[in-house]
Amino acid sequence: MKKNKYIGYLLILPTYILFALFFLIPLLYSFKLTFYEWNGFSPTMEFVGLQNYMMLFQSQDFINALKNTVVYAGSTVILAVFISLVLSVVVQDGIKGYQTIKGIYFLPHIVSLVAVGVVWSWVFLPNSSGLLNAIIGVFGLESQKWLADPNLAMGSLVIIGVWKSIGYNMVIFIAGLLSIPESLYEAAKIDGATKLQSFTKITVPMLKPTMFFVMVSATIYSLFQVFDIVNVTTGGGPVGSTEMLVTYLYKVGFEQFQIGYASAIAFVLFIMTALITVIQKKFIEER
Amino acid sequence: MKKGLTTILVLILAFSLLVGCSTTEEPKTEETKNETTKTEEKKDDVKKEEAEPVAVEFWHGYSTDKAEVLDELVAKYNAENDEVNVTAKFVASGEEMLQKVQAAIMADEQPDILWGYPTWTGVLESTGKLVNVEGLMDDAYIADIPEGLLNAGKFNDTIYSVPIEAGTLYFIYNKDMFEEAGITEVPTTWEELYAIAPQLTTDTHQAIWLPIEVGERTTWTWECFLWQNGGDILNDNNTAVGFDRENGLEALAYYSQFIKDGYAPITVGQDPFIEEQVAIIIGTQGAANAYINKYEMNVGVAMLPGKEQLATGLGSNHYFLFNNGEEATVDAAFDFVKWMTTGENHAEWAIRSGYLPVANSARESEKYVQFGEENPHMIVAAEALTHGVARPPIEEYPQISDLISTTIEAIAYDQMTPEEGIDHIIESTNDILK
Repeated sequence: MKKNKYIGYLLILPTYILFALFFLIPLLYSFKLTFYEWNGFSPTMEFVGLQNYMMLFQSQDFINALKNTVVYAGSTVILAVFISLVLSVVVQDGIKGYQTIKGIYFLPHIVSLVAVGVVWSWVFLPNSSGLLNAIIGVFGLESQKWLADPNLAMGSLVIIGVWKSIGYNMVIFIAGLLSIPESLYEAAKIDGATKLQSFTKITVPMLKPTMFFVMVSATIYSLFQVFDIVNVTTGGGPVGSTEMLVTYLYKVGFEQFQIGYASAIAFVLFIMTALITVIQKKFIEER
Repeated sequence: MKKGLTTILVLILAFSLLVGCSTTEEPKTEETKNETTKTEEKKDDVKKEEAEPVAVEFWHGYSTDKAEVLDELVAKYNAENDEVNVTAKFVASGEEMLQKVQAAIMADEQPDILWGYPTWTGVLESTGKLVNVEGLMDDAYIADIPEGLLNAGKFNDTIYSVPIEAGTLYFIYNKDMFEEAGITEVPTTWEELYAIAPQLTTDTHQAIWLPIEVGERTTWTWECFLWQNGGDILNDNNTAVGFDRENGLEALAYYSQFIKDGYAPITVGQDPFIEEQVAIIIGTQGAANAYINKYEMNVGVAMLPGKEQLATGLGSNHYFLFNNGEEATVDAAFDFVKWMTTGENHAEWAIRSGYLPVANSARESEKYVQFGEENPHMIVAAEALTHGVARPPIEEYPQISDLISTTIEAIAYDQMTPEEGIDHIIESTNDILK
């Protein structure tokens, strides 16, 4: 029995070594850098203690990026999870050719984010040549500036984010739905339960683990993958209305050469992601 | 039996992985002895190879068409110089190159010559591996390159890079729109430009595009107005802003006034000039080339208007030299740089790459004079270059540039007044430089 235990550890050892080399050590090194002022090129680094963290919370740019990130991640996750759950139930519940529909919804997930960004910036073009403006023009509505309007830019990005993640969420939800025993629904039907009651009393509780996975992955995805879309479509503008933590981090780290400060942002982002994951787990377990 | 076999396999796997990661010295076996003998033989070979050409590695970020021209010129140089062998490699374009070089410097694998932007000088100098090229330049070479371009490669009063290509901002205007508006003269002063703006603004287009997006393009365009008004971004020591509040405020107010009055668009499509959204843009000779030759538009070009003085933005790409421990390599690398940046060779590079030549010897060469006669828009750009001002090549410049462009954007979106904007720029720039 003991022998088997050691073999297990030995088998996972190569993975752990790779994990340490490419994840744990860079993570710890990045944490160390948060206490230094360094331009990323110089052979010397200056120890500055907690100065980078203090700068962080005094910076209006950081606070703005943090606020935008929370708004974007919150809206995208809630909308994407809700829409994909509803669509999964509808699609899986007896629609003919649902495999094809599932494939169509999944397509955006496999398309490069940069390409997605370019296409959506054409859709959201501020003048009358933009696709969305042409569509709303048919209904007699005025052209909007979309990504170029500080009040609409964030909403436009949320639309792109939701569109991009629905397909992936649906695949996971459909897998979860298929694992729920059919006998539960049959029993509920015999007891006179309506479709809505079956959904809230059987589907939702049985989907808890799937829901947890989807919410965590959607949160992480929205926190980190938003970089490409913002970079291609708005560049963080207009007037900082779409500046996210990841784009701000890139700007200060790789364009302004403040590696220590950028590492502090990365560490805050790491803590934020971990906290959100723990909170989501607790919330789903309690329900 | 199976368990035993699994244990052995796992141990072999783990051991091989650990050995792979290990750097400890192995005891000398028969095999390693043979290796030692081979190494000794190699040393003898090196002695024999001393007559071999000096290898120079050159990293660039040119697009395919320009890289093909470069390869031809490199081959020509190698054929003319038996003692040197330059190898040109495309590594990354634009700012991505800096990230590649950063990784290479960390691994001590930097190239001998690097193509890049002069704004990188500060961070590259901090590595301690950059060659002070000023020490390699003779008087004739220094006299051949305009001072503004040489200054672009200066850091702490020392020249660390050599300009290879230049570009300058000037007016590119739609001749048809000018004709429709009845304008026959291109404006030469701020007042004249503002005066024709209403005539050039119609229901279908506006007078001029003054960028307000966050980024260097906005900052660079605004800096032209600041320089024209007698100011400079930073003082001579790069320790504080180089303009007084009134000069800066005038430039900022003038820039934003066009947007407020509806003579300049706040948002644009892919290219406002091609889409005929504006009558004038402030662009480089590269853009003018494309509008004239590729899009076959009816385009005119002119020097930017002046106020206190004539001034425009000077953009340049530079060659940096790294010291990789071999003096002969540094000398060979500089010899190649000199060959590329002067005379007929440089004229050929400038003509075929679409950039402006940096050396007087190239600009005055027969080849380039003839080219200028066929491409007058390039000559106007070359003349504008004499009023070109370089941006400060310091490590903090990207931060300052970001600050200026975000402030201009905030003014355009009515989130700040020009007065608040200039105070914010002055205060924050001085903070950055502390």
